[in-house]
Amino acid sequence: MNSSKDGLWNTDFSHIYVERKAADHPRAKRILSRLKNSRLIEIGHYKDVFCRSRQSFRLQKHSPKLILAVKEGNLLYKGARVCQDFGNHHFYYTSCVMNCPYDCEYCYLQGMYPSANIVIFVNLEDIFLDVEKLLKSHPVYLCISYDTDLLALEGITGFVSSWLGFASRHDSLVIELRTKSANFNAIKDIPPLDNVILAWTLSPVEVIHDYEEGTPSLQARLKSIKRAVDRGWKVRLCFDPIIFTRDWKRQYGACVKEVFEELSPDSIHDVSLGVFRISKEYLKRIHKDRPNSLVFAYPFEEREGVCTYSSGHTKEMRDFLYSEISRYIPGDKIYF
Amino acid sequence: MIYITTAMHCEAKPFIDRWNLKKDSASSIFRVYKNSDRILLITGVGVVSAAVGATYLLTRYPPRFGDMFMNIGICGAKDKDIKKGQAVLCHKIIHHDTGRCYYPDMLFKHPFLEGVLETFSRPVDKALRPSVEGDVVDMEGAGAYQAAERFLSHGAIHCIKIVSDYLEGNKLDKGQVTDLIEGNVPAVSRWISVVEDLLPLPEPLFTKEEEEYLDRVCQNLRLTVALKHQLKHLAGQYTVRSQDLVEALKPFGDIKCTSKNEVKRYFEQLKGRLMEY
Ligand code: SF4
Repeated sequence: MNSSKDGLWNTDFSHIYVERKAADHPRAKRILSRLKNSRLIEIGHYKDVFCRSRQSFRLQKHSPKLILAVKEGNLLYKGARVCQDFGNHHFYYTSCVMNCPYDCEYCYLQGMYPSANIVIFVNLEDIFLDVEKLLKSHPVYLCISYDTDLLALEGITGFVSSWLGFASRHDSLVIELRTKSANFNAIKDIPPLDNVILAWTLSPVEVIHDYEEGTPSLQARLKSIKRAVDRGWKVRLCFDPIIFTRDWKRQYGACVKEVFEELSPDSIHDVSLGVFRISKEYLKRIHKDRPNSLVFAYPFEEREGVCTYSSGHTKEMRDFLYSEISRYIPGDKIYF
Repeated sequence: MIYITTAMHCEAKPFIDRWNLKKDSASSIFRVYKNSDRILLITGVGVVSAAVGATYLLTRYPPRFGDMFMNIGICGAKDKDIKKGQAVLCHKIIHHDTGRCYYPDMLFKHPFLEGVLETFSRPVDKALRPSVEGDVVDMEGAGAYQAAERFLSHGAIHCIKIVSDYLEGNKLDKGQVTDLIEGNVPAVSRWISVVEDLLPLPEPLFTKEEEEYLDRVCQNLRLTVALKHQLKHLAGQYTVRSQDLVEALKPFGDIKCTSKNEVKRYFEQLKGRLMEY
């Protein structure tokens, strides 16, 4: 959606807020060396900028800024109820980055975070230590790219490479890296790891066009996936969230067909399905911010604090996607 | 609407002239000048005056989404590399006394220098100079910002300071202050117009006809405030889905509820209608 006004906004990351205690961290220095044209603003604590009241998420999305910080306190979280655990008992996620460079209309982050600016916690080694502590008691299944798109930011952070290095030293750790990016190139030279799953979120071209602002096209994502499987990586396909539109059946039918015309079903590790769902609280906030959004104009049903489509629509969409995908992938490899 | 505060009349004068602002006689506490889309208030000197003035302005003339607030005035610079007369757009404002910092969202391109402003409660002289952290110092910015952030989002609050001295204790007369500001009025004014154009205006969900019909139904069905709120929410979603709201409301247009049971029954029917998708 380029307009003549686009050139009047500052570019993304035109300014970088740097916590005093993060400034000397080698990862902060590396990130700053990759963004030489940005202005630096010293801050005391990331919350002084990120958690201010009365920020406009929508306005900030025109020109998001980076915040470099040191993460303190809890670094790992137990998987949330709305997240798929793929049969893993010890399911955790970590947010080494908060917020995403993309701008999906349906994104829950706009209801979860007070700001659209992106916080990068540079002390990854402290998160590694916490994971190692957990690994002493049991195996761990860890999602490292929730609440962000780590692979899309790889050119700036290098975090995916660090995580892959860490995973290569810990067999009882399984990592899921979820992405919509087409940035396999950034990790193409790293040998594939058996305990890492690269998980691509896929949507019909119409959904990408209408609701996934800034994300790569379906074709570009598929090309990246093809390179990953050819190289020997385990790849998960995520049709999650499935978005209700008046023409959803045709759109998702065509999407599944296109995906498996492009990718060999045997090369896919597994598939995950999930219809759009969001916490009631986030939905309330988003409604205020985007009253004209078609995605959020659905008359959602609420169950235990989570809002989603009517049970009729939910079942119809899930059953349809399951039956389309099971033409290519065995049922026991499809999670929902 | 663009809201401006300055500390002194001699800082405001070039803007009053440029935009042909007229004194608002309804305001007796502060001097306020306005036209249809610009409003300027002279706060007086000092951080508390700046906060009180900005609060008065934004309370008496409440801003809407898409409006912008700006504090403009002269400042001293720590470094002689910044030329006299240079306009500085502040990306961080430190309140020297409290140590609190404010961060306007730097969303828009601009032709100014950028820097850190530090607001002091008294004039900064040679003795105070070593304690200055900011690039430029003034006596109002932090007060004005602290007040304005109660009313507007951080992308809609800005502070532009024009360098008048190098903290050596030299006093300028009013004419010199006006001249310094005057030199920057074209650039500031142009930038304000650009930003004004970029800040989104609220998009109404309902047409006038839909609004009237909704009010009529609420009144006839004798809906409580909570139910009214729920109905408007569902009606908003219905219109966003490009469904014909008036057509959906029509069957309920002439129903007049006389009991609580009726209210409940008809509201549920109407709700069901608006939830069809
Ligand atoms: S890619 Fe995911 S995290 Fe990023 S904006 Fe889209 S929905 Fe949100």
